[in-house]
This record gives sequence, structure tokens and C-alpha cells, in this order.
Amino acid sequence: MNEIFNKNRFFKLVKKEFSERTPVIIKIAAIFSLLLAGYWLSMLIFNGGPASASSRNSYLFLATMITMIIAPFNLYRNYNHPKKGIDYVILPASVTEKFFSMLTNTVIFLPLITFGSILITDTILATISPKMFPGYIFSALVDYEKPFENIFEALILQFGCIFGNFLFQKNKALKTILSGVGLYIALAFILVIMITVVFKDDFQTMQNMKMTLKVENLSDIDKIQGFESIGTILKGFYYSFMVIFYGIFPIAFLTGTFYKMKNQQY
Amino acid sequence: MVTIENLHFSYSRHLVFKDVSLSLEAGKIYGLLGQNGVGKTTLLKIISGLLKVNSGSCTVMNHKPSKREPGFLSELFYIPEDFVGPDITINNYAKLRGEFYPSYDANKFSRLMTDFEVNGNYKFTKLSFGQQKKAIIAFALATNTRLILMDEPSNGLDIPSKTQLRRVISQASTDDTCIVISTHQVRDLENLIDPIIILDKNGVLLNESIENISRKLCFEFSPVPVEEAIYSEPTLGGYIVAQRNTSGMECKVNIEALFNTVLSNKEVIKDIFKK
Repeated sequence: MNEIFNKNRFFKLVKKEFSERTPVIIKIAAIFSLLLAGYWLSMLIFNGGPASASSRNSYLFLATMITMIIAPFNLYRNYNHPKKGIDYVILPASVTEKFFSMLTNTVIFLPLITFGSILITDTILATISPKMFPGYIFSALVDYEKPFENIFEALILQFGCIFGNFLFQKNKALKTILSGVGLYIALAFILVIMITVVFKDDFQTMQNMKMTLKVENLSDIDKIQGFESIGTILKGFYYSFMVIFYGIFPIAFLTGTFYKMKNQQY
Repeated sequence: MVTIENLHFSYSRHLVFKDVSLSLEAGKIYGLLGQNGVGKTTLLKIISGLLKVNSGSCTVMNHKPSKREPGFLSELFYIPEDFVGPDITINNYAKLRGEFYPSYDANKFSRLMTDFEVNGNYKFTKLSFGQQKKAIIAFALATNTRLILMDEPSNGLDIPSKTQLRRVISQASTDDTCIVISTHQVRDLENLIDPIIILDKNGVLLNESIENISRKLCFEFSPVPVEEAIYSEPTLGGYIVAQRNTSGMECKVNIEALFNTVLSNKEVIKDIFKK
């Protein structure tokens, strides 16, 4: 028997997880779709102005992002519960399979179903009353700027929430949000220290020049005479931030979650 | 089937097991007895891989339980004392989980559910604690795993269900299976559990078969206290006394009296059962 990963067992697990969580998934998707329908209805009753496709598109992405964030707390809140979690831990599947099954449900199924549900609701409403909902939301999707960057950022936030869900046993959502705020403050504090203490002289020089800069990208700073060193510093900041946010954070969150799943004691 | 050697376990500063060694064999229904807080549940959790040992070793069917490997988990079922079922119907629960156990028998599950008079079309959340417990016991026995660990299975069950429980557990026991039942309600499971394991704070006080116990100890009713008794406790109209069995004839074991005898005469008992 393959003790690490077995394809058949994994699909059985995904099926089981999804079947058990279908009522919750439907409930969440329905809430966000009904909010849109409620908005449409209120506009109809109170003769409100039309809602453009782009603003509804923003709602679609915002709702999907909220769904991604709340998914782990709703679908897997009992995993590390000292009593309720036992049932899942003794299930004959490997931690790797349980980990990927959990990701499949929280990262793919719930957000996708919510996304699809809102999209369908909007399409129906836009067809019924084009005056209230002019244009179709899916046509605005094509014009949506940087969709992949936004999705990736939402994913990083979601990975943080998944980790928080496995790290904390009580008041998971609150503690995860507070930890996120704490992490943000710590990073901002490091940045302020770097600017005001470590690279104080460089930034002082920059401030004394009293000139306005308009650069298209960070590499352009290097081309300005006298800014070579500052350009390097700014680039260093920028790339460090990118590496930490887009690389280290998601890897750390996922690794931490896997570790917690593997070593959780009941 | 289960081999525990020099086990040490503690919850932060609270020491639970110190140098405990124990061996459990297939074909038996073990009764795990002990006072509150001696670590009965902890021992079951260690065997099922829910807790990791600090030092020493625990080997179950040639697996290290704390690794929680699927091959190991598919041969074990642990029923916690206070089982909380998910918000789905019992039949759906059994159908979805049964697929993970190679020897799962859906017909046996239906039969046991009928015996326990539980309707599988109800959601766990809509049932009483006792009904939920009966459902999970039915599922556990239907998985046909080689090792079944039950923590206080008779808690929350009504009188007819306790009779049913004794019957289904004895039917489920085969030469290949090992069932471990942790309980305070020894009367509920009398005539079922054999051997008896009695734990105390320092480890295993007794791990003997009923036959062996009855050869060495005698439990009798006496209208007056017996001076040479190892232990005596007042009861309605007299005393229950535990004495060394010198006749060589087997005596009926009163598990409750045995438990009290062992706890109040640890050294004497160790001496009697010294191998």
C-alpha cells in the first residue's frame, strides 16, 4: 500500500470531503448570489440608477476573495479540534492526501462555485432587466486588469487563513486577522527602520534634492545621475518585498499547514 | 498485535506514564480499567496514533502509530468517549467512510443499525448522544478492522442497548481481532472482557486473563468480615471478600471487587501474579 499518495484514495477523499461539505458550499455561494439579487431588487423598488458591468465585476471578485478567505474557517474548522477532529484524523488516508484534498475544496471548489453562482445570477438579472444591469459581467471579465496578479494575491491571503485555521484552536478567524495585522505592522516597522536609520543618509540626499521624479519602472532610477545608489536600495526593497510576499509567505503558510496537519496531537 | 515498551508520556508537566510496558494479543477483548486520570484514554490515543510518545516505543501491527499511515489506519478504529458526528446522515457517513476500509461490510452495518434500533436516514446532529454512539459503534464493527479501541462505549446507552452492545462485541471478536474497551462501568461489560488490564499512575498494575485471576483469587460473599482476606468491602447484608485461591478450583471473578482489591493491595497483587 502506498503510504504517501495514492491517486484512487485521493479522489475518494475529495469526493467524501466535497459531499460532506456541499451544504456549506451551497449556502455560501447562495448568500453572495442573493446579495446581488437583493441589490438588484432594491434598485427596482427604489428606482435606483443602473449598475455598470465593471462595478458588478468588482463585486464578483470581491465576493470570491471573501469566500476564499472564509473557506478554511467554514470547511475545515474542526480539523484540530481535540474531539471533533479525531474522526478525520483516523480516516485511512495519508496526510499528503488530506492536505491536497483540503486545498482542492478550499482553493478550487468553494471559490469557483461562488464565482460561477454569482456569474449565473448576474447573467440572468442582466437578461431580465438590461436597464438596471447593463452589459454582461463576463464581457467585463475580459477587460479586467491584472486578473492573475489579484488572484495570486488573494491566494496568498487564503494560504495565510488556511495556516491560521490549523494554527489556532479557538477564535480562529479573529486570531488569524490579528496575526495578519501584527505581521503587517512588523514589516512596516522594519521598513521604517531601514529608511530612517540604516539608509538615512541616502534618503536625506534624495530629500535635499527637492525635485519631482517620474519613473516608469525601478530600473529607470539608475539612469538618473546621482541616483545610482538610491536606485539600488529601492530595487533591493522592492525585490525583497516581492520575494517575501510572493515567495516566502505562501511557501511558509503551506509548509506550516502541512506540518500542523501531520503533527497535530489530540 | 500491540507492543508497548518503556513508554513515557506526559502532558507538559503532568506525567502520565513512566516506563510502562504492555503487550496486547489478537483474539481477545481487553478490559482497560483504572481510576479517573490514570491515562486510559491517553493509552488508547497513543495506540491509535493520536498522541506521540515522549520516549519508549509503541508498535501496532508492525506500524508506528504516530506516523498515521493509511495502511495502519485502515486496520484500526478508535471510538472516543464523546463522539461528535458530522452534520450528515448516518448512512451517508458510513457510505463515504466505508470505502476507505478494505474489509468494510455494508450489510453488517445495516444489520447492526437494525439491532441497535437506529435509523440511518437521520443526521447525527438530530440524534441523542446514545443514538450517535450506537451508530458509530455499528460502523466501527462493520469496518472489520483488526484492532478496535473503545473508550467508555456503554456510556450514554440505555439498558437494552447495553445488552445489545455486549452481544455485538462478542460476535465481532474473532481470532484475528483485538478489541480494547476502556470503561468505568465494569458491570455493563462483565462476562465480556477478558483479559483485564488495570492501570494506575505508575503504570500497569495487572494484565491477566480471567482464568488466571480466578485461579489465584477468590471473590465470595461473607456475612462477617474475614480476617485473612486481602480485601473486603461492605455490601447489602454482609461483605464481599477477596482471598487467595488456595483450593485450586476456579472462582467467579467479581471485576469491581477485583479492581478495588488491586488498587488497595498493589504489592500483594504483584506478588500473587509474579511470573
